[in-house]
Amino acid sequence: MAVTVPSIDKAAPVTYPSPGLREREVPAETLLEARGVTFSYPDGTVALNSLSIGIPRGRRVVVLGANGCGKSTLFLHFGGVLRPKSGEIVLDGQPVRYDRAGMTRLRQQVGLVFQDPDSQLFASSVRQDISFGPLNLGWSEAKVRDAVEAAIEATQIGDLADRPAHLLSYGQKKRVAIAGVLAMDPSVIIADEPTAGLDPESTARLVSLFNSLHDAGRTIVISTHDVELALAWADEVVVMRKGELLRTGHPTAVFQDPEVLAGARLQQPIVLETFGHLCHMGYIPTDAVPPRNANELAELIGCHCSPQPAPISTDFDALRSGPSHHA
Amino acid sequence: MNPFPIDAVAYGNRLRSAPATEKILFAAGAVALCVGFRSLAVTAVVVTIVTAVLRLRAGIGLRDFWGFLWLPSGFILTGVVPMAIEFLDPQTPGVLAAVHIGSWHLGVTSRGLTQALAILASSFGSLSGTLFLALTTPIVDITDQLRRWCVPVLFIDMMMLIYRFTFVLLATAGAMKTAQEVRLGYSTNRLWLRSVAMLASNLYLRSQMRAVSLFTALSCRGYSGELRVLVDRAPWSATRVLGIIGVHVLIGIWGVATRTWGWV
Repeated sequence: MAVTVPSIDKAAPVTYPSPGLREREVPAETLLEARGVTFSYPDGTVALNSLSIGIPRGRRVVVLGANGCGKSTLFLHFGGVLRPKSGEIVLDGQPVRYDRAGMTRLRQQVGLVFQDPDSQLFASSVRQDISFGPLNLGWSEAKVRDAVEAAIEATQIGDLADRPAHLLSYGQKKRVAIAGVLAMDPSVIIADEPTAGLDPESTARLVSLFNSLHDAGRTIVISTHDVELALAWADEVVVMRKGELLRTGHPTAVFQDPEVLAGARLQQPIVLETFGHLCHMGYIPTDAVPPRNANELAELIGCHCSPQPAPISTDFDALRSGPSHHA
Repeated sequence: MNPFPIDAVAYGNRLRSAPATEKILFAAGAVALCVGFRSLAVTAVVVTIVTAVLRLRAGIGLRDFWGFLWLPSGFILTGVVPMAIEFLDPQTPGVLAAVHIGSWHLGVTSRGLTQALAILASSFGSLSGTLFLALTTPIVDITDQLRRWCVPVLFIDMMMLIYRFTFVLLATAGAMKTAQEVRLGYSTNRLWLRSVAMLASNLYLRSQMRAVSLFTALSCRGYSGELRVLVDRAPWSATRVLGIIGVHVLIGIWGVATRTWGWV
């Protein structure tokens, strides 16, 4: 999707107008937090370097950064798989304890979806796999059954429920993996590169699934390299570099910060790049609100005709404010 | 694509949704009859019934059934033929045929032949009974049933993991082999050997890594030593169960009658 377009005059970056924030930032309480977390792997690689990041409750957060910048390591800390060498992970204002009770609480609240669904799905049938998490929480069988059915319905995998994992496509396995953590009724779902390797339609369906989970009050955190998706979809963007936090903020603000783009070696979303050029050339007033997708950009340059409905909607804004969005 | 044709048939046949209890009962009865009677006549009846049920109820034709049956049957035959042929004393009674090689007498006696035929009958019959279950019932349903019968959890967990990761392993091995093949890894005999060795050692390492990541992912969902999953209650119909038992009992009576009074 991210098509590389030769940019005009790379040497002298266009200065963009200061970002106007479309949605009024309402300060949200912090649900999950890393406080000064440092972690190094046994081979000496420092993966996180006194990193402090807060995940606000009820937001859609996208974590960006080059490969090996520590995104997955951070997620494993949030899931309680890795323990910080120094610093702490804080859930709902309380530092995470690494005893049995503490881990049960953390793992119920934080649903971690791994990049490779094959490492997560183990049971012979989809329904059984989804029932694994809730059963570990010690719920009654009736409650587990309800949770499993609700997760199957929310992820729209009813037709796959009795199939074995090896008869599922990659995209279907992803949905099953999400259902597996959703059934545990977590407050936050953290997915490591959920759209990697998915075709546009599956990506659109997955984003729409995340939207519906968000509408139901859950916090969603995903990592991706897809800057267009991050711009169009995120409430908040977190940019990491070499185990440190480079910048966090509203996507249009982050993607218009040349230092961040250069520092994290991020490509600016094409929509914003075009917007910048059009501002520069005087087609768009410099105080205009930066667009977050192609439709918003089209409106800015006076194209008010409704766009042709695409056979596959990869317009994440449509997904953002579409019928599923009725919070 | 399913690399295991039996698994594909198990998910695709018309008896897929029939209760596992009934299918296991039917298969177990067939195996018990064949092993119990060790009689060619009983085995013939059982195999005919199994074939008919597969054809008429499961939609698996004779040709497909035989396609799965011939390879293990070959093993049975190669095992049974040497059993029938034995070293003989010149005075042994009931010799049907013999060859003399120097001072050795090699031949078939009626007792040896009977014994070999009995083993052929029981093993071929059990094979078709087991294959019936394998072709109509996916592993999921069988492990579910074992859970209901309170078979030790460790055993079922192992079964479930082996089944699941056989496919993952095969897919990984397939991808690796293709990657080697496109770089001419199998173009000569020497390269073939080298590539296979690399594939095997890599696959081992990959499996280790897979095990670690599986453990991590399970831990995130609260794994604490037992792979608990939900199992639905087994639906089964009393009429069909009675019907299956009835058929088996009838074959049993007929088997006893042929043995006692020599009826056929």
